[in-house]
Amino acid sequence: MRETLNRAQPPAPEKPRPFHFPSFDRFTMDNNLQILVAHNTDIPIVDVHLCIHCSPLCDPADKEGLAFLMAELLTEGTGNRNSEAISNAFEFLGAQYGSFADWNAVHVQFNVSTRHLAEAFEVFADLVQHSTFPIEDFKRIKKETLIDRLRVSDNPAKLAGEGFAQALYNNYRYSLPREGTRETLERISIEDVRAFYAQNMTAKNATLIFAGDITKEKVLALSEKYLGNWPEGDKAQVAPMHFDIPMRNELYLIHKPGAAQTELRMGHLGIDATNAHKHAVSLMNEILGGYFLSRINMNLREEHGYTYGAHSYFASRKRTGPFVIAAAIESRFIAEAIREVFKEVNALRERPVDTETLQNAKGYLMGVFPIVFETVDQIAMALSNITVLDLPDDYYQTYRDKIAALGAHDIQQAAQKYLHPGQMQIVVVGDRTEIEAKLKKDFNVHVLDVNGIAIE
Amino acid sequence: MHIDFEQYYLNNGLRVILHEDRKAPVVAINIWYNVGSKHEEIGRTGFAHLFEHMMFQGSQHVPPDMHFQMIQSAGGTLNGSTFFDRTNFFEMLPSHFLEMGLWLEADRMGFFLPALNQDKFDRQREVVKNERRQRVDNVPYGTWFEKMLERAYPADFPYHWPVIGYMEDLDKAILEDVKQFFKMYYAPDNASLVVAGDITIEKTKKMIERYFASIPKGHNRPQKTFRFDGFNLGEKTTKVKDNVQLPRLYIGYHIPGFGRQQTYRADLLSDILSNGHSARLYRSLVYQKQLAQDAQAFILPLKETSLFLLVVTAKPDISLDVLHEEVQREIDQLRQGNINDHEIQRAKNQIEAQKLREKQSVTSKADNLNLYAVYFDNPALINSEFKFYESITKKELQKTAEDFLSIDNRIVLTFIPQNH
Repeated sequence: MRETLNRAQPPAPEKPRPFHFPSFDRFTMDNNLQILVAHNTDIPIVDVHLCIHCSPLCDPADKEGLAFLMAELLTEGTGNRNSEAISNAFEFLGAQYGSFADWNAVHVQFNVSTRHLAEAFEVFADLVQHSTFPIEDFKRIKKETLIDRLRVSDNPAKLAGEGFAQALYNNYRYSLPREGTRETLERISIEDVRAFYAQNMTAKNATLIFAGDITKEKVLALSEKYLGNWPEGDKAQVAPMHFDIPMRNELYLIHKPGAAQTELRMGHLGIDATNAHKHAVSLMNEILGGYFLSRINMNLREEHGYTYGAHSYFASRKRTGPFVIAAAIESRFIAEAIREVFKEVNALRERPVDTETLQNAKGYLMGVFPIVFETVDQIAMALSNITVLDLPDDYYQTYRDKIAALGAHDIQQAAQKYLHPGQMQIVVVGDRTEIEAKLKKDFNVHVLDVNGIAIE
Repeated sequence: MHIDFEQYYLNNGLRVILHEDRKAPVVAINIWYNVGSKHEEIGRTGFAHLFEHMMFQGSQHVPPDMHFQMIQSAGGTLNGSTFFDRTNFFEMLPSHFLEMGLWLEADRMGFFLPALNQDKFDRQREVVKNERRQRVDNVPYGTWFEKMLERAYPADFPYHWPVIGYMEDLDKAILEDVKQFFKMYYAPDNASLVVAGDITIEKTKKMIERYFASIPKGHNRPQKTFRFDGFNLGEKTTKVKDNVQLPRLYIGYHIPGFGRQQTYRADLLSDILSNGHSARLYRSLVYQKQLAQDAQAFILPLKETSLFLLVVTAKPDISLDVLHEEVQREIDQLRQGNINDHEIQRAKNQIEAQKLREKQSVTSKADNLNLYAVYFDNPALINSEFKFYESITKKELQKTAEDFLSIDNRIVLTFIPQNH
């Protein structure tokens, strides 16, 4: 007999197959270098990721950009290899490699097929321990960075992000870009870079992560051979955060003549990475602006067509990160869009979410978990978060259970405690002739040019 | 790393490819429709992509907004993309939701029209116009790509216009167009379905049969053929003023369609020029001479005919004439066969490693299987495509550079800061 198919009835799920975040080993070498290993033989690839526990937060005042420059220069020369020899070595092996500073650490990373691991690791260990910062490379990279600063005014999304950081963080380090500004970069000398490296690039101030096709024994052998003599040094200290938090709404309009759209950033101070309500906040944000189904996206995009997409996030940083709502809005609807955002933020504070909304968001965060840990670099990045943000080792193992335990009450509490509509700093980048008059009805508008200078 | 798969067809012509990979409890569902912006009419540009948006708006048995909701609330991710030659739809789901994912894809393949309405269409048109503003009009140098296409191809050749389309054409699209387009192109015999990941083959076959087999074949699908022979018709140059700080040079050379031997060679040439800091353009223009802020070469692989593209940004106070001369010097080196074995091997090693990295993700495996199936009727290329690169010789590279990277075969666009 032919089976009859009722298409109106969505097929029910089967029994789920369990997924576990990869287990990992943690050990310490004699020079106090921490090592984390997640062993996985699915594909003959290894991702090696070193986190140095210093970041732009360690930049001296007036020399913002120092950590960034040091990170950029790590691949530019050692006592044994110049810049060309370094790129030749990695790239001939088919490796991807790089070094960069984000807000939480300096990262040195490479990804290579297992059979070339030892050769690549030797070059990597050379950069880590024997960088010399040749003067001509310092000048070249500094010049490139200065030219990139010059180009920020071309880019509305970048202008909006930088304007928002400035509005929110006052004189704290987070108010300036990681790479600093023209003025602060100009003040940085090669001696500053060498001193920063000597101070911070030490075994005790670092965590080395391996993910992929490598055993613990092999990790120990490689690390002992190539990093066994790395001087121990000290852990870098980061000063406590201190600045005047803006307590009332301000709107900054960065005038970009002829802009085809208006870039919007709004938000306020968020949470610490180790906040006790972190899971509730992340579920609350998912509902507000995290995934496609979120209220802000469904409202601004699907209901009104004001934008191609809108989202929000609480940034995970070593010190209190920002809470940001971001979207590129059709200019003639900018005032309406901001009003709708406020409406959604207030609704989440005023009323508990319904069961369907709650279950959708929980289902997403719990179910999407195995999908975001498919590749060895994703796993290494997750371990890097554990180490740089001081998360517990079982953070990922317990994540889904903690989300599962949350209810509508927790969401509303998190919204009331961590959403502050009265403290929103709002930055728009667009053509003032199209947007200023509309915004003046609701806000005290400060108009700036693309260089951040107040204009009439 | 060999990828095992099984390919078969349903009676209605739907191509099915299954690949089992049980390392994580996730499954990728990936459908390619053999339709893209090249099937659009002049004056109706951007339509294939606007249509793609409508496919997320529900179907007869899936209420509005529920397509997104069912997948995301299960912990899945989803998207679609439109290109010149094809449109794809893909979702990743926890594997116990496989059947629901197949049901959703079948519903919009077989029962899309009853759910269509004017209101949804008008809103998605606004969303797409905002997508264009965000990705093209409000981006520095953002119109370079369509300017390149407009100059590379004649007005009646369908690579002449960008996939996202022009604003005035998006305004012209009407609901009736959506119906016609669906009837013409969205049918099982014009599609290819890949299911990859944590599946059992026999059970998955039954599910696919259950949901897809009764969807009727398409009819009256126009059999369009495309022929491009505009090679070596003389250099075209255009100067554009834009609101940018640094001048930038774009060069496009005509090369043959994706999948041809010369196109693989051109791809390898582009890697020799610019894959990494040991590659020629970076080494020479950015590192040694410090004339450029950045420099890239890559190919745009299209089914009918492709482009080899160079993008080089000048440092402040460096004239584009000087930069252009330097870029020409690098191209001349390739044309003269001044290429060493070491850099050829380096570029091959990079491609091989990249192909290995892609095999970590079931989404990427599913999409690649469909790419080789839909473009070349040969999904097995997922395992063998690298051989095309591996066997390329220095002499072949030189010949390809000589044949295609010539002045009379190129388009040059220069972007100049407005305030200069």
